[in-house]
Amino acid sequence: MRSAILLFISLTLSVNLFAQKESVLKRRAFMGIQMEMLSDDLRNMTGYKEGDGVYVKGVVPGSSAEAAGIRKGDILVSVNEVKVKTPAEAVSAVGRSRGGDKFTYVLYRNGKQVNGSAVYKTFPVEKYADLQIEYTQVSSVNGLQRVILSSQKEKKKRPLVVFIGGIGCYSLDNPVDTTSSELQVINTLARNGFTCARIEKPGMGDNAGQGKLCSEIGFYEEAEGYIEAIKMLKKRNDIDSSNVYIIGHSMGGLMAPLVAARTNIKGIAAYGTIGSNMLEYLVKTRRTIAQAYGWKADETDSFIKDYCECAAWYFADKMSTEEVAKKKPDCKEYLSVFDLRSRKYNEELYNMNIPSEWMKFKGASLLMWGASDFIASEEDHRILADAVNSVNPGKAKFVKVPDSTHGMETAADFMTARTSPGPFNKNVVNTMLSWLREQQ
Amino acid sequence: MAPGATIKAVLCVLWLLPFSSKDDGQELKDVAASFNIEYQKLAIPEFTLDYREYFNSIGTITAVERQHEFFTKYKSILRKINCSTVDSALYQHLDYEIAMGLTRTSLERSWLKNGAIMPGGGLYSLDDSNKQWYRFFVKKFCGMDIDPADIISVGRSEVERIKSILAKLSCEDTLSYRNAAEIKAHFEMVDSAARKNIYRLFPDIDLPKIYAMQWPDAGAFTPPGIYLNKEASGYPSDVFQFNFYNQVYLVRNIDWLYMHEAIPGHHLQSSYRETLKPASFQGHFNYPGTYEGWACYVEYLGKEIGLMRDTLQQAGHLKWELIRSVRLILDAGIHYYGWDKRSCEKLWKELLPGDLHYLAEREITRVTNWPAQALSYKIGAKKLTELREIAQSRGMSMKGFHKFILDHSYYPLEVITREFKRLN
Repeated sequence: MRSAILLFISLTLSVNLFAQKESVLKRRAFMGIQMEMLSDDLRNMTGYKEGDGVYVKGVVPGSSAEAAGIRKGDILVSVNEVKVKTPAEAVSAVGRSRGGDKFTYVLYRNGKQVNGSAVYKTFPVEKYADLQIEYTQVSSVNGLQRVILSSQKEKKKRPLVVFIGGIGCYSLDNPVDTTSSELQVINTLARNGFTCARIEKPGMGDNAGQGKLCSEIGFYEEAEGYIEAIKMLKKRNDIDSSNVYIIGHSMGGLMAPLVAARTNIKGIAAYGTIGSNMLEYLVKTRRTIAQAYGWKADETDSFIKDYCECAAWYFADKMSTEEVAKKKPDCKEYLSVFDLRSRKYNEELYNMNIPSEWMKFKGASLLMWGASDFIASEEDHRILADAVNSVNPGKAKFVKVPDSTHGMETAADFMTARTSPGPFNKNVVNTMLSWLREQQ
Repeated sequence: MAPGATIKAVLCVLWLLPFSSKDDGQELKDVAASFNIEYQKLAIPEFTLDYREYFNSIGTITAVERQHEFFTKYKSILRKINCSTVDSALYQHLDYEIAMGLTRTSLERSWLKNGAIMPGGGLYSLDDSNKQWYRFFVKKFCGMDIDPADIISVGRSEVERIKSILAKLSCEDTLSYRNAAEIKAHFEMVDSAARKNIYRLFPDIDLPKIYAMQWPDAGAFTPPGIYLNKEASGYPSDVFQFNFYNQVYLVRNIDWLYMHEAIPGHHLQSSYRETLKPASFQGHFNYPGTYEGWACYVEYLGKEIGLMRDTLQQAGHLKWELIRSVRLILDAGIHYYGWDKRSCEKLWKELLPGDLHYLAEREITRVTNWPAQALSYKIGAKKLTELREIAQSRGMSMKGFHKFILDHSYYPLEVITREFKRLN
């Protein structure tokens, strides 16, 4: 097995410096180097004993780094006069730069310092022989947000599918790796006649420096970006505005009925989502998490009890993670997922009556749960399907997808899903596709 | 070796003499070159260790049919060359890959036509009454045919053999290093000893320095070590990474791991390969049975090169060999006989000593997700040991035998075996 390669790309960057007032979102900069921390071993091998920096393991052909003369084996010390000690710091140093901006760098090569400057190339775009990819944007309360549309090349009016991702602050715009589950879903649906839209979260990808930060906004603020994007897209001539769907993955499944309530959506497909209040959800899924770790019954019981206490202090008593960790140190790790987002976001989530939001939705619903998904529960999906059907009979359908993880990958069971999930499980998108066709 | 392999080689000569051209040697080279060009154009996805990635990468029925037509065409072209007057190894290698390509595309075609259902928990659940998929994976990773029942039999007999030796060694083998510098110093000592003595058994070669370093992102599922060639890895030199996860390293795992990953294992093999001039098409294929088999085989030559002198190192080697032997049983058990995880865990605990029980989850998961890969070590080493015994019985020197094997680093074991048997 080879060590993981870190790409020097500003994919997950969340820098909110001086927001630029743009109406057209420019493509971010692409440095394009593979890096590794400068360990003692690498210092010994390279002979670079003094100072900090990151080791350049490779340079992506056609990148800014290649054009600037940066080579495999160099030790990158600073970018734009910002010293870098870790790959993450190097990514941050590229920051909110755009293609066409100038940059400077300092590196060490064979014991000698090299200073240089160059112009950033723009980040690559997705290219496929059979698909058209359009990069546009929407203006929302969060600032300018990147919207990416994928469709077949032939120009015609098509139904729209909007993909909304999970809780984390991450980018859905990664042309360097097109194997992600999200992109597999989007591309498959596009190849089957739908226009698929992704809306980048605030501060992510090309949105860096354009407004609010994903990690600081609330749940409902995030929803505004999706709502504005759908409103904009429905006005386009190439979109069949009466045929619009949302696919909500994980937390995106909670976002979906809120967005649908203000955008007149025909159907929602949710995968790996939450269908009960946060505390109940946490209890149910801590048990499946324990199964994924292979813990014994007594260990599982202690874990769930501890976790419930942590969650109750955090959500019900409104204590911060630091305060909770003082009461019980394990809580720090248990609650780390909530630290990905703001207090406001988590409180809004906690206060939400999820079945109630789904019961307001009049369209068709598909609730999918992967049989190896230990992060979400089968019961939650059944709860939502039953809730919808109780007010709109026959509108919701529950489907259990075999061998499928929370990340829509292939795995035979919870433990394999945790330790070594396989590639994207095509049954997930095939299920979505069949359902979407039924709605046409 | 496959029962039909020798017959096929004989038929090749008998049938095809009437069609042979005047310059078959050049013709074969031309065929290999055009095979290479057309093969590249097909953009066949790389065969992955994880069977789930492999099944996901299978193309459309049109793409698979096109590949099948390509292999069928080259099968016909190759049959027109008189194999008795050409580079026999090259001919057989091309023939081998054409046959593998036809087997694969036939299986993929059926799989696609039957709904392309991803098998869960290994290959057993595939709709495949004759278990041709598993046999294909076995050949893909071992480079030769081996019956699933024989895999289990080899595994069980190896478990018995190793346990009986281990019982006699009786040493305290839990001594560990807690500091990476100590581990590296030990590896450097081993490196120095090995370099002084390898000339006794292996052909002369300029061996570049290899740097022992801590595996940077090792985790609970990371194997004990890995060899990384500098060109592929981007490191300043060839490296050998050891797993220092949890800041504990068992001293017993120094000699065998060094021999496997570095000298005379992968580092020597890789350095030797760089001196060879393979035909262009040979770069598309790799044979774990050949390279992992070699690395596993040379671990048994420690004493001859000044290593494995103490019982601690011998015990460490044998304990890892025990793990590899149980993997053989699990592999055929999971993918051919359909054993469930619980049965595998039970077997692991029955066959292995208590201090190795913690590896059950990691190893069962690995064997489940990587069908047949774990066979390549023991099956490859066993084949090389058999060939060496034949070589020694014929009076061939160890050095000469090893040179022959290293000269055939680009070939699958089936071809190596046939070529070896052609030597007088």
